[in-house]
Amino acid sequence: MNFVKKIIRYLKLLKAFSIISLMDQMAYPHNFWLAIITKTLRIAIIMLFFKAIYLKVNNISGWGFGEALFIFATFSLIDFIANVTFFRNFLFWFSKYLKNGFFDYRMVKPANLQFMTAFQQIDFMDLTTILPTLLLYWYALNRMTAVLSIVNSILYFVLLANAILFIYSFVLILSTFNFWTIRSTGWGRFAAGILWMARYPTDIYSGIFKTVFNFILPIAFIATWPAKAFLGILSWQNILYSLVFTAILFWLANRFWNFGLKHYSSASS
Amino acid sequence: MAYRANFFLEILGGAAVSGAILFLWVNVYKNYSSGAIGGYTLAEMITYIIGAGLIFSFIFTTSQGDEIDDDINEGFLSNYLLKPLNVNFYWLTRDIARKILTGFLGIAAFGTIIIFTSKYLAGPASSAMLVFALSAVVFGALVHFFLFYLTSVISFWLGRTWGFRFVIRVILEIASGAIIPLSFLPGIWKNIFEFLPLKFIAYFPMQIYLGKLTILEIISGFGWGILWLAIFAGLSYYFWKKGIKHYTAVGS
Repeated sequence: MNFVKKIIRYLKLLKAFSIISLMDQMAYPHNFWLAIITKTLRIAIIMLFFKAIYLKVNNISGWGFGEALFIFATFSLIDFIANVTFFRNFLFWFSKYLKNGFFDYRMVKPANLQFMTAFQQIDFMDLTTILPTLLLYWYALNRMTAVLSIVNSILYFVLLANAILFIYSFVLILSTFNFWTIRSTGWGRFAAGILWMARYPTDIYSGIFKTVFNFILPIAFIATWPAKAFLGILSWQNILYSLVFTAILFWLANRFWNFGLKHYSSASS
Repeated sequence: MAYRANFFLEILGGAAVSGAILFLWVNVYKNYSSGAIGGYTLAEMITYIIGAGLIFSFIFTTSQGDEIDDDINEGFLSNYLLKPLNVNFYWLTRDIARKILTGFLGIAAFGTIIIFTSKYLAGPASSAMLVFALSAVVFGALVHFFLFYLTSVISFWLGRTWGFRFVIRVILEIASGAIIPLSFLPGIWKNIFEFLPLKFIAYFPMQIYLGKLTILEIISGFGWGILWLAIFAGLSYYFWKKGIKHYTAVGS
């Protein structure tokens, strides 16, 4: 019962954060609407990019046009969830709050500090990108030859959840460095660059990079492996590996966050 | 440069993006039996992607527009107006100085990718083409400056205007030819983007470098560039004159 109460309390907190964020973002309405248009445009631009390539070739590393777009749709969905919620909070706003003392003020609040850091600002501008992402799914699915299966679909959703947890853990580790470096928006740009690579099939990488991006810094977990699971071409070993790897990374990220928190001494005046 | 590690991480992120695009193109060529795709050999494509990526990611990654926006909205402009300097010229030189610095740092950071791909890289078509290409980069830098200048001085009326710059940054990704040569795009898009001045940022300089344009096309390209710059300069002058009359600053 206590657990349920706790969940409800945090959902209420999330709702409050969302309302404040929306008010903040609507302060300059023209920017808000332009940002929405731009984010939609960005998806269209990548589609145009893929279209331009597939006008010249039939496949890239065995991925046809529909399948490659399905990977991109999967990436867009994960990217959308991360951007709406924790990504910018951890990698861009957190360092700002450390610097201006807002984080210190938040430390005395009766709520989980990591939760408040991760969800302080909900990005409503990104929320609207769900519509073009869903259209992209529809467009890609109509161009795929794969036969839909319930088991593969369930696996796909499991790996999607795993992908979100993987990015959350990765981003949490990077943001924890803020406790020592204070100003580090560079981590945000770095992480965005690395995650951006996941929009293409990781089968394009060869040699050492193939090993790195599949198993060591496994950006394959984000879109390529879920898409492979959906198509029924991902081995059980790889599914297991991605789940175990993410669980360990999540545990390590939390340990590192707590370590950073223990060693934090206020940065502001 | 006060935060070197920060800056280095930003560059590393940009290099990762270019690296991914390179791998993608290598794979595209692997699955293609003929030597060239759309008139580009693998060496030319890799050179194009690295060159365009370098120009786009580093030389043009500046917060110039945001700073002009800040100067207007936070009242710093009042200080500049009191000083014996031309504010617009100051903004332009600040932008050029930063572009030169980030350009050099970008080359250093891109070094790893260049070393990895050195066997594929194509040299300039001739030394004259190299000079023309570098001149075209300067043209691109000016086009870039004016684009962001124009979307910043409208702050005189609209307050914060980062939304406009966000639109331009995203459109630039493809319309400047940074991730793919414009000649690869489907019909109508190719025609639109080849008409717009955004091509001067990456596509036009790289086309010259690779010897894809005749002397006549280069001269005509520069002619269009001058025309676009004149339009931008005229619009900038107009908005500045109108805007400065509208400008108010409060506070100490």
